[in-house]
Amino acid sequence: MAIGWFIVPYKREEDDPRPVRYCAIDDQTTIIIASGGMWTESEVLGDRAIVKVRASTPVLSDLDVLYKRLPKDDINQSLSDLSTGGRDSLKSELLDMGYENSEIEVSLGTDVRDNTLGDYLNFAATRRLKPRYDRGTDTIVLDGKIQSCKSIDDVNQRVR
Amino acid sequence: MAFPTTGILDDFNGGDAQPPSGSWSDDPGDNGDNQLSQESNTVVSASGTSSGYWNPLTFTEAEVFISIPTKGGNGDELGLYTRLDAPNTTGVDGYKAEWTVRGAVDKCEIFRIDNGSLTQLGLDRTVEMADGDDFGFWSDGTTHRFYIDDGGGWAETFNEVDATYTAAGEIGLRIEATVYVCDDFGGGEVVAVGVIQDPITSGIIPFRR
Repeated sequence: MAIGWFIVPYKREEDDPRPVRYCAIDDQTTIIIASGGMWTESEVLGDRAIVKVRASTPVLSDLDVLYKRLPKDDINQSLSDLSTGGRDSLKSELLDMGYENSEIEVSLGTDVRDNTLGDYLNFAATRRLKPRYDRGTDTIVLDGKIQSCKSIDDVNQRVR
Repeated sequence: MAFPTTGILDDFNGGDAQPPSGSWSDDPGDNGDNQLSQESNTVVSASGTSSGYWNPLTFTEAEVFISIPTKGGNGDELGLYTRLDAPNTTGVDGYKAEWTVRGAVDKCEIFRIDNGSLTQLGLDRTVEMADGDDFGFWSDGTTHRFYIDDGGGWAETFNEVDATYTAAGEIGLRIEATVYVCDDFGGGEVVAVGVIQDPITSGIIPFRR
């Protein structure tokens, strides 16, 4: 068994008339469980989740095609050996979530490689916004008040 | 952990009525659901989907449970609510456990409710529902626990962690489809071992030494 950390979007439940959303990795739960694995998540900013997966190496490779896999598997591992492209990719992900460059740099510095995976994930789990249902457009909108995220420590402990 | 620690709030034995009594308010999830119906000493959905929430009291460490004499058909959901805030409004928040009949593999889920939208916590679990099962849900601090009694005693099936809503709120029930027959709705403020609570203010049967 192996471990992988992913950033995964939320999806609207299509066969439910109610406004229901779920972490897209649940579409792969069957193959993850079949490989003897498990997953858990922390919902973060930008309608996505930080997901820790325990599964077989082939299954993790399959998930890598579908979702953004983070470069390290242990939250204590340094990001210092990332390429420039890897560094930029990680920062872009935070900007896409909706974090400001200034707040990223206050917490993680100007080079995310100066941090551990855990530092990066903890920043990504700084906040999220409360969802609401817009009946007029039949969409779930994430523009409400700031809410806290499940801690990365909880995620890390729950799936080992 | 012991479950449940509280007693039955409504055994639905008061004669046919819709809703079952004045202790039930409508459509906690603001889904346009019908009122629950009390029929032949059970609670059912007389038409389409019905739901209600127990309005006399709110509960923080909230547990809720229901008996299922007759399970639903394929695609039919049974839901239990805890910590409902602003039920039956577009701003309803809280938690919900769902057990849905799905062909050969029935599905168990836990959701957080935010302004009427539902976000699933964690993954689908699969546990077959059978006539005679009991279904329970407990919001225990920041851990939300899904319980089933298949005749062998109550057991926690799984749990999910979410710390968003921790304040007291109502508990409730949702029955999708007329096939379901349910009974003995119960729940309330979880009773810690050794603690004696006033049955009137807490809405539970007192701990008996």
